[in-house]
Amino acid sequence: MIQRQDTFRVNSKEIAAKVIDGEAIIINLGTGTYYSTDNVGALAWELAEAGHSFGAMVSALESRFVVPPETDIEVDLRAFFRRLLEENLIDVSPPSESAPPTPEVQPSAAAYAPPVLNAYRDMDDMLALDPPAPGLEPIPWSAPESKH
Amino acid sequence: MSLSSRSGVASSEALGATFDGLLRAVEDRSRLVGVRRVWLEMAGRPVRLSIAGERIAEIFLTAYRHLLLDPEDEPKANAPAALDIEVWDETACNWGRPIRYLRDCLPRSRPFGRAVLGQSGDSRVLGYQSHSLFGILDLEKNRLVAAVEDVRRLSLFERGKPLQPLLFAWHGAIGAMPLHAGLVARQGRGVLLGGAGGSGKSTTSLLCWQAGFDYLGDDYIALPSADAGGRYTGYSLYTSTWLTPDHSRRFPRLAEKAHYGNEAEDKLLVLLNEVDDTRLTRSSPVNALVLPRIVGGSETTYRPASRSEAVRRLAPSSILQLPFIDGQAALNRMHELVQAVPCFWLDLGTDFPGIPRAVMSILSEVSDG
Repeated sequence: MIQRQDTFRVNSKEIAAKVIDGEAIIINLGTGTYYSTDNVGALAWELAEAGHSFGAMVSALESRFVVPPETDIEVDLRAFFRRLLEENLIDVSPPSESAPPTPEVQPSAAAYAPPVLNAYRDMDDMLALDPPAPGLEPIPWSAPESKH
Repeated sequence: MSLSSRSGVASSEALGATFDGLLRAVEDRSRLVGVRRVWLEMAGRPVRLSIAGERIAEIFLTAYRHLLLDPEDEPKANAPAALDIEVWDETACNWGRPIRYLRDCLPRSRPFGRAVLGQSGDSRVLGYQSHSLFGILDLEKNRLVAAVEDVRRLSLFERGKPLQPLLFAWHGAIGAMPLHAGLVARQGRGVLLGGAGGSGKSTTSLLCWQAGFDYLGDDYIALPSADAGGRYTGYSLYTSTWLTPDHSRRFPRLAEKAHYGNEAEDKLLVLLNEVDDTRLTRSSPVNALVLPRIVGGSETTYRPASRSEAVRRLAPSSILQLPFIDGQAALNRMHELVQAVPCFWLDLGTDFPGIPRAVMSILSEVSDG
């Protein structure tokens, strides 16, 4: 369960990410899956990268967007961060007193829409460049004693 | 000397001794027959290539022909090289390498298709081993040593792009980021063609080649950071292309020069630098980034693409397909590129002569703008 005081750490050993013109592009180097998220999702990603707590992000987004009455940004954001966690793109960090305060964000005329993480898995099998070669034994690659 | 680490984790000291031993062994020229030494230019830097073995020299020098320096431009024999590559044919030289498997000297080994990649704990030394080729690159010494066990077993991939994983790693390490993109140029102005496999990148590159463009590659190029004026230059790596049956019908001049592999290799290899009249060049300015895609219809059209669309199209295959590449650095380079050059979607039609015409129109538009 994500708590309001939780902060997040981008899994930078496994991913490369960049926010470009309001769209976050995130590539998981281990799995070959890549992701995009724009508008609210991209802003949330930037805030998470900057070390803001979950509660601070909710406050920032509430002040940025005109939110329809039936919409709960916190619920939407919680679902979005659960997806990021499930995809191993971020980790939850312990609450930190050094987390930056609620960021000041300019109100936006853009309509609020729940953040969506688009996943693209068409590159998952792209790691093998060499064409198959039937009849060849696999080349030993692990240490002789280790078990796989 | 035992090269295996019983624990599977070689110490960096032992690893250094192993690698240095391999280098010293290669330097013992008495073992090597028919050594040929040439100078290449890779990413604008002088690279010395020494090859022992007639047949392997023929294969490598064909693949690198477009990168060969003219004799009058060659540095002196003992001049420092940005990279020293030493390759020998174990059969022709009757001398097997002193290390059998990468795992014996590089603890972080993993499968890579049918091959194996390895790297030292500090990522200073990288390795690639297939059923016919064993290569080690030391990024600190800027030396790449490779042994070819059996020339006849080299795959088409290894003939068309010799030492590719290690050379791309070296390019990345010197800041000339390999990108999964084609590059063609006309009158000194270049168009980078980005996109994953099946996007029409190769078809567009080859149609442009056929229409008289300079050809620098249809799948990978190297892109250093911008010069002081903010301009980007792309560098050719390989001129090999893969012909599908459809390509063979469309480009009969290429089909005549095709190399055939084993029964599992369904595409044919063509080295553009073996085709007469090919206008090859080692580098070109990058004036536009074009994203081909197959949309149907007969006419080829183009329209601006956003910077995020361009990076999303170019980055995943560039970063995911290449081992040893710093993914974040590559992504940063692509971000810088799309801020500096205009990006376009190229919606490919079935009227093929219209494709290079559209690319030419983009170049005209960019230069007029």
